[in-house]
Amino acid sequence: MAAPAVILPGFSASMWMQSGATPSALSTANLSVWAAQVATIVGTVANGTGAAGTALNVEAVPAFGQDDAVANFSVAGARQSDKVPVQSAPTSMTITAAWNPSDAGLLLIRGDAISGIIDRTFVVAAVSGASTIAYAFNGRVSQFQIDAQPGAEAKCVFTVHPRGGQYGWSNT
Amino acid sequence: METLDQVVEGLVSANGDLDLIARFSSVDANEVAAALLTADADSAEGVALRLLSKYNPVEVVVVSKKAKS
Repeated sequence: MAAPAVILPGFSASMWMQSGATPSALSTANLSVWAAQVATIVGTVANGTGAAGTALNVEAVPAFGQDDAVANFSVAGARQSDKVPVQSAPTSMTITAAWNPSDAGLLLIRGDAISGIIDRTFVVAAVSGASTIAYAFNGRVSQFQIDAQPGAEAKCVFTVHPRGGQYGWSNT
Repeated sequence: METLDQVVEGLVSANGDLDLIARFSSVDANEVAAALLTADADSAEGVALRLLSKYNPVEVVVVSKKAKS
């Protein structure tokens, strides 16, 4: 399906994840398939079906993608060196959310952080009307901290580390 | 040598860098192109076949006739 031609500021972004305690993360190929795969994780408000997913109520969706990594090679006497792209790590997403001890999604995240070895599929959905563009990736949660300052609402901060090469784009 | 179905099946179920796996898969370009015509674009098979076709493009041989002198 063709991606909708809409300027990105018109989208609203939301974050979703598989809802099982011990989920089977989507295979890499299925991370690029909307119908019956990514759509099952994304909720109906973002044009998915949501049968196997839950929303992650985050304060903001952080930047995602790939970190820059280059190696310099120089030849003696040459004015310029070569900058060669080398193995780039996917960007880890450090996310802040309002801490609600009853939030099912945050409790799953907390459990993942305790385990450290649970692979889960996460989806960032950008929605404009009936159009959704989804970035799906598999990742593991590491750090999980609760910041309960008396003068402000309690927050939790956690980091999702994507698995290398396991991501895909899809759209409605 | 694996059949195209086996290669696609491997790509569909793989957890890892599909691009890398597709690059080193040995398949027939014409077979991939034919399968791509009938595959559902929004399916895991479609994703796998598109990657295979990226590294196994169908080569079109143009035969030019020399003008008779």
